[in-house]
Amino acid sequence: MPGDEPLELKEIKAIIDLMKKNNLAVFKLEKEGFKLELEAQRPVAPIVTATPSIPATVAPIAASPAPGPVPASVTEPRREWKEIVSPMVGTFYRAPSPESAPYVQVGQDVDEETVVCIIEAMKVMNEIKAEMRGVIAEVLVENGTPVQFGQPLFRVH
Amino acid sequence: MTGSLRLQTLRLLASPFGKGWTHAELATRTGASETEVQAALKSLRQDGWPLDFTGGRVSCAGEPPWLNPEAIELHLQTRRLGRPLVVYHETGSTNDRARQAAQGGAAEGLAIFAETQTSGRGQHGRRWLSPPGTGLWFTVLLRSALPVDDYPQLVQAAALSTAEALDGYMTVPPLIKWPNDLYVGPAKLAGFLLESASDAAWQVLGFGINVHAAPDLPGAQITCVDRHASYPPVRRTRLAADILYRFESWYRGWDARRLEACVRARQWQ
Repeated sequence: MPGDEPLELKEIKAIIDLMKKNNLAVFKLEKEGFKLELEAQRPVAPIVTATPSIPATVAPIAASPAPGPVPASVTEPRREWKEIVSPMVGTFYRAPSPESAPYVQVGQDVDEETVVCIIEAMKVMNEIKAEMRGVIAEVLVENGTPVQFGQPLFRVH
Repeated sequence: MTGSLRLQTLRLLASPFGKGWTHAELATRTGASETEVQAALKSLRQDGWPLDFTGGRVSCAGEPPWLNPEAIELHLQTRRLGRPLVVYHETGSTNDRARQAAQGGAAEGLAIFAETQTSGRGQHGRRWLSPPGTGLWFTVLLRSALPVDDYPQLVQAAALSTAEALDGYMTVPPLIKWPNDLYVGPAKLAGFLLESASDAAWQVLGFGINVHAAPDLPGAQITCVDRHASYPPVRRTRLAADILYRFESWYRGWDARRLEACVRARQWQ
């Protein structure tokens, strides 16, 4: 950011717009004597989710892509979701090469060290580790598409 | 049209003659529109290319500080090997990545580089240390029809090609220590490792060369290219392209007897 003056309201609005556009949940900026934290209300994005934001009636549809132990009905699954988020801006790839099998599939166990995808940034491939234990419940990003810093890539439970 | 617009642009910018190019000149030379050229320049700059825009003319005197696949490609004169080539920031082992690609059906020639490996392998299951940014650690995928008995020679061809490429940079010739390590005097400079499919459908050939630094290993003498270079630091991208070129010429015109003679002439005592 140029100069030392705090952000103008206009600039903050621009940041919020960017967050919306890129499905960012949280934005933090901190420098001397100045701190800005923006947090979007959780279901900002048109991500396909198992969360019944329109409750009851549509529940069976919403639960479609996640197999296995997802209790599609009453319980409150959101608590148990964790997300693997992108640590950088780049392009998301699910496999090490176009010919290879994806690193992980839905339903697969992962631990801290499991490589789940690649983010290509500045022509360099970066392997992304799960850094958590769980089971891949959903892949949130299409192979080969650009992702933003902090964007959720996988849902894990 | 040869190569992508990015690569064509880089080729022009890397040319040492003149004072750079205007957007219009680049457009004419590449056959692209000025808008396309502008977009290419912008993305190159984002990828770390040190472009200079002085006086409305674009030039480029260097390359991104980290290992960049386009920077290698810029120097690459091979037909098959290193096409395509991929650079990982960090990976377990480039041989493992290449093996995965081979099993998935990737074609001969794929080369996988890593800035650092977390579980690089050396001979006899030993670890191979590859600190970030200091060396060339890469694997080439081959689908050779050579009999399995000749595989050891394939690794020797890798060692020999690397030595020959290094002759262009170093003041002393690296020698081949049996079976296939490169040494300068008492210190190890490079190592090579081949792994293959049980049905011989593919071979992955790993190259490990200490370029800018020699890892400290108790009880082992290790050296690096820069220590013996005429003009250090040696550019890894150019060196990689040279090695791939040398190796390809040995590989394509396979001549076991000539290979053996050249390896013997470089034998470390």
